[in-house]
Amino acid sequence: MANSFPTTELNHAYVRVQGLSKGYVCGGRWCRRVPTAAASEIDFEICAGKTLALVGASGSGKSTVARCVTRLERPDAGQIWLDGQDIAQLRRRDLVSVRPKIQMIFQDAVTSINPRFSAAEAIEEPLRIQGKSRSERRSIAEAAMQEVALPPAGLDRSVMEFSGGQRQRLAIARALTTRPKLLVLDEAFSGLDLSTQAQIANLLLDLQAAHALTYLLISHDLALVSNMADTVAVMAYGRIVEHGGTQQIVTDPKHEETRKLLSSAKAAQSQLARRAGASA
Amino acid sequence: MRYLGRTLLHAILLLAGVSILCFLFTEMAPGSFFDELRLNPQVSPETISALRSRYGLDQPLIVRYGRWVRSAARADFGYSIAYNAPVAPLLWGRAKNTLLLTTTGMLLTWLISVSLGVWLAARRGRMLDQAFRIASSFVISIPEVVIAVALLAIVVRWRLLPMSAGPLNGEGISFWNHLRDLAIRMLLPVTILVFVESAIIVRHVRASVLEVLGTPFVQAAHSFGISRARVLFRFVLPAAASPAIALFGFSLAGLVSGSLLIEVVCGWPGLGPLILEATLSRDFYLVIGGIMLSALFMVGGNLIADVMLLAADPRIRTGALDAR
Repeated sequence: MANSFPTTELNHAYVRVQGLSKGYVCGGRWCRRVPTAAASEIDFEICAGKTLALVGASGSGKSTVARCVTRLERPDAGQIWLDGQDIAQLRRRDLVSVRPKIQMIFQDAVTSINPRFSAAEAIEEPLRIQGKSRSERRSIAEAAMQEVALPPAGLDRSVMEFSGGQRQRLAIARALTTRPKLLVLDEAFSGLDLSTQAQIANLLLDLQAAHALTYLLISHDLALVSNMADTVAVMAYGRIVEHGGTQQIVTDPKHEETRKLLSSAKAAQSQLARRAGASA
Repeated sequence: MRYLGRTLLHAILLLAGVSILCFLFTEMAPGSFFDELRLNPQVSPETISALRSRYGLDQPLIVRYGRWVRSAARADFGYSIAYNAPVAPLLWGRAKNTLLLTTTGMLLTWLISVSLGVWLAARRGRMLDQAFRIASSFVISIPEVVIAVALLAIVVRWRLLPMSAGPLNGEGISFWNHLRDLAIRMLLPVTILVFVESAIIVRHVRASVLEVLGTPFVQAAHSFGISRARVLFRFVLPAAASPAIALFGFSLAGLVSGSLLIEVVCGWPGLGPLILEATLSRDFYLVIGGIMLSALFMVGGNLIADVMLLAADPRIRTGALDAR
């Protein structure tokens, strides 16, 4: 595997992943167990306030990496340095102090928030375990709603009453309440229409500028991430096959997988342009 | 409120439909209560026809149905020829015993099933989980009556339970002795009920908890560092409750009809033996009364489950409002 990722000093990289591997075992206790490597020897780093896009086709292992970085899964091997601390093998109770620093925005905005909750309950939930008082929680939730351009009056409404795009904003507001440093966006734009995608992307860029947030952006859409990411890592078969600056990846792809992703992104764009022309 | 009103109207129409079908099917069934009398040379055909006319069996179906509806409105639900008494008090006396058995069984079943289902879901794929899945498939595939007879045989063969001879209503014995006596009597039928029902309910609870455990909002809750217990009680269980509540409705619905065979096998003086005897002797009003009572519980159980679902799941509330 090419290991020519532009490295910087550890103190500049907010996130550094080294030799991360995660495998799953398919099959049950009484049938043949087949080990499958979902991610192997993954190395990357993201400087504070920057965005790394991890792109790849479905099944390439990018979501596994995202789940390991957020420690929803424990990696089999490797290190995940977050702000100078290796969190790869931390135990559940030791992770409690780390969790607020990393937040994840999930692919499906509709299912990523408990449908039984009001917007206030959904946003305030992470604050409850921090022991914040009721009034503190409310004021933080109102501020978070304003930051994602949703009216604070909507806090008392059920999450069922929000549209898909609004729910993604709610999910971002919920993530912001813990004052995270790293946001992992796992296909956070899929399932949204183009104009909502653009609005959410702009919102995320504004929030990044305002709070010096570091983004790990997981996507299969190279065209979309090229507008947001500073660096891109392309994954295939559980490995990073190409990585570098966004401009370099888009204009001069070296790996076959990158070229495939670029050509499919271009085909999708031209199809959309044709449709827009036909409807006009 | 309007949603509930509509559900209630459906329930009444359903009960009317069941009663009409009951009358049609009993009319189509061969034989009548007086057929055995016909074989007796000492009973003249005139006597039999006088008896048929006395109980109104010579009337057309529509007239008999009309009379039965009037009787149901008086809460008699027809007249048992074999017992020479109105059906409702006969059924109610036995239904109390059946309900004692099935309610105890149902409470124990749900207590065990929910705990075991959640516990197994958290241990998905491990040895105990796999073992339970195989064992429950085995239990589900065996007819309930076979399990009942097998357990009864085991209990009798190894004399696992002491004999109980006290009266079921506890007359003439102290409260504690009565309780002990009742527990001994109920142990076998309740065990069979719990054994058979749990195998199904645990699988459903496990499946719905597993489904919720994999949803993004539960994963998000874990990513905030919320404790496992809080995630379980605040996120997972309320979300997994909907399918379990629907199943709970079926459990309520089966309170009267779910244990009939087991009662017959274990000799429990509930509705089971009464309805079996009534069917064999073609005491049709008693059979119809039994079926209607069972249908009433079926409809009532589903109605309660609907109300519980409405309270538990905001998505159904929204759906119900949309449907107005």
